[in-house]
Amino acid sequence: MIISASPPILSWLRPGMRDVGANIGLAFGLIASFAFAGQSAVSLIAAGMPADCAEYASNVTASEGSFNSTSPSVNGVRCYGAFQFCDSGTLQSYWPGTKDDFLADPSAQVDAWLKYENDQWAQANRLGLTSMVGQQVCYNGTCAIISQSSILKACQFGCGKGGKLYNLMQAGLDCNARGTKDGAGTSVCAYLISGAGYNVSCVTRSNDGIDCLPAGGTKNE
Amino acid sequence: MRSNHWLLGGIVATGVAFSGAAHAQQGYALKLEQTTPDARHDPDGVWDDEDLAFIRKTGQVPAIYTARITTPAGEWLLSQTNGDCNMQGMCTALLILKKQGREAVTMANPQLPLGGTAMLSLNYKKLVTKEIDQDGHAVDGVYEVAPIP
Repeated sequence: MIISASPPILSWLRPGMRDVGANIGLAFGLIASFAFAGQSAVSLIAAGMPADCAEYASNVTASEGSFNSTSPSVNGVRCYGAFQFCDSGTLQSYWPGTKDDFLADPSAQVDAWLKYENDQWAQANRLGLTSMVGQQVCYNGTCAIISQSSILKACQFGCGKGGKLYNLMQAGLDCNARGTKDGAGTSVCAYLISGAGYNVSCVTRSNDGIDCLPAGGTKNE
Repeated sequence: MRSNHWLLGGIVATGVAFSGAAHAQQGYALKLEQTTPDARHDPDGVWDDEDLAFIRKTGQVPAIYTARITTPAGEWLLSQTNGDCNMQGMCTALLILKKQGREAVTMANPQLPLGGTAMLSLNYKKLVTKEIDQDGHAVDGVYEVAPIP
């Protein structure tokens, strides 16, 4: 007779090795999503983000950070908050206070980001980069219609003269043109595509994005 | 004969030392330094007056950072302003090659911290940078060096 150390019902409930592995994977996934997911649109709105830009801003923070994020030090430079403003000059340009105060103040982070995006949009307008809005860009088998949010997202690669976006415009939207990739080999076209279709009217004062909210107006029947 | 041995030894030692130095040198370092604070005009002509005026309009004091070296291939100028920086503080810089009697040509457009350093390879084909990516981590950037139309 074999005597089991645990009652039969418990052994039935005991998970198999596969289940344990899957659960560990899920737990890691959950932790990773908390660590790298950035800020939700709702939390950004709560911090003062205009609702029309919240989805786009959330998309940006997904690749940057959360309100209390601090990056590792790179040659003495650290980056702070949901948008990872770095203290190599950019943070100081958009926030006059201390780094700790910036980290502790989500609304300050939102204000800094809005001012930064307004400057980027003004720069893009000045150099005619916004003339690319409405045109189709294709890269690595994916195509998108360039929207205002595409331009803002691609300004990560520089929005000024001689930058990647400027060179792309000069090259007639040829994603393989010289001077359109960053040092890691990523094309500015990838950002134009991934940033397409968001409402950024809080910056651009007009909306060419897709709103998930129901259209306004009255229904007469 | 003895003095010839000393001479030969000296030549070999010098050769070893020289090749060691060349090996240690990975390329030509271009260390950006602020050369035109409160800039209204770029003495090198890389940035227009309007580029600098726009920076002032955004509430910053325009500044130009440059680095230059002269090589057998010509004079290399790396020029950067504080007016086109992303949130991580990586600012567009232009690598210009000037050859006597020819028009200056833009050869690369890296993004670097203000006052950062870029390394031009000894064969002038690559420009290597230290950058910070979107999530605040260090990235080694590599740019091909060739004319940008």
